[in-house]
Amino acid sequence: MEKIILLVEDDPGDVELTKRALKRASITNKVVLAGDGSEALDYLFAAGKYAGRNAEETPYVVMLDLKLPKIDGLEVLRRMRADERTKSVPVVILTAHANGQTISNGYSLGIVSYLKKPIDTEQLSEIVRQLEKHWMAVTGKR
Amino acid sequence: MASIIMLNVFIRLAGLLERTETGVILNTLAGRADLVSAMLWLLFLRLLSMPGPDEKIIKQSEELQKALDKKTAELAKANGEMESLGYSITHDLRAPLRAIDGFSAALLEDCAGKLDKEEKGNLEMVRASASRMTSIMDSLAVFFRVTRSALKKENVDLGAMAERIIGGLRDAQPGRPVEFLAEKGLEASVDRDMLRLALENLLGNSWKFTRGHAAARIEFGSAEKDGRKVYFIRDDGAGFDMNYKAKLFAPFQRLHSTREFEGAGLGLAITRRIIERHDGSIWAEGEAEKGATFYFTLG
Repeated sequence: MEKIILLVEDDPGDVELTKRALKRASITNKVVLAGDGSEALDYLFAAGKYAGRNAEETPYVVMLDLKLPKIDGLEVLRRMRADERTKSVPVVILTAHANGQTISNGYSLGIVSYLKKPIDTEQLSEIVRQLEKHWMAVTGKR
Repeated sequence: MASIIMLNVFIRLAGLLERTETGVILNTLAGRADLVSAMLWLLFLRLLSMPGPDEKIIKQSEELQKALDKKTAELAKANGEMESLGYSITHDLRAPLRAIDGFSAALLEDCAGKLDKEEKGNLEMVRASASRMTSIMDSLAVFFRVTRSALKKENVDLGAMAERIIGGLRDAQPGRPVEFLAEKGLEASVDRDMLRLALENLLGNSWKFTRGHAAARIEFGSAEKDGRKVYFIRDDGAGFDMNYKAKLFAPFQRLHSTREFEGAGLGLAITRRIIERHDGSIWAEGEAEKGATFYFTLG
């Protein structure tokens, strides 16, 4: 199964800079982009424009911006955690402003970590390590 | 009805007081019953049409309440507008700034070989400006926060807090010989986080503006003035020209060029807001090249 990164981000500048940071950190996974919370949920639950997708194939990680049009990041996270299929998908929150309350809300909904924008390669390398540990613990493979 | 009752009273009284002067007067009045009735009615009607003193006060108070409600609504609206302005500054403006800085950095990295020194310098200036803007926005966000957030008061040893702040400044610049004296027992009931910010600003300024001098001395103490406790932070650094005293605490007004001393120009405005939120006041005295003393009271 392909290890897909679902990047949920509405700002085009941030999308480019994040993709650039991934490339510089030698992260070559396929990146699927969702421009708002609603599109992210469509992808995750194989609905809307992603209706034909196999919902069993959940992403390797969801990089989730918090401030999104239509449905915001925390709501996306809540719905992910409320559904059996997406309950254990690792989530990394992207935030411009490390607000204590938001971070703790995120952790209480089981995120792996948060990344402060602009994302740099050092932060990403650390995330990769944590994700590998997570997946080893969950499945013993991947 | 009332006049009939009054008449009865008169007649009885007249009977009782027949032989007195009052009795004579009342007899006369009883005889002129029609006139007395008319006068009583007129009096009664007059009293009915006049607003009593209580009603006047009630009406005034209602009008004041209406005016107060209107002002409260206007204030709530202005606060709401300031909140969204504050949010805009701290969030919405950051995204484009990130792009300016991020893509300039990308250009510097990708085109390193193709750019000459001046071209690289230009891109560095773009990055530096973005960085400065981010710094100003961070300060503005603090200014908004300090204006709006609720105060959580507790007993704080301000002297000990100042020692820790100076300690931090020393760690960042171990080479500098700075003498710091803090008075013992400087306790006050304050919002800890806000006062830490105020002291960081004041002590940070003293630290910054004494760096041109070989050996520096910073003091934190208190004095009695007109029965009030006045705290002061004194340094023997660059000081300031008292002619510009009025600009000292105004936002974005700086008394030194960025070349001489860096800074966004909000530190003292934030500090003043913090002191004012504690019902205190802050002022300063200084002399160019001789140092400055910042005084403040707390409620």
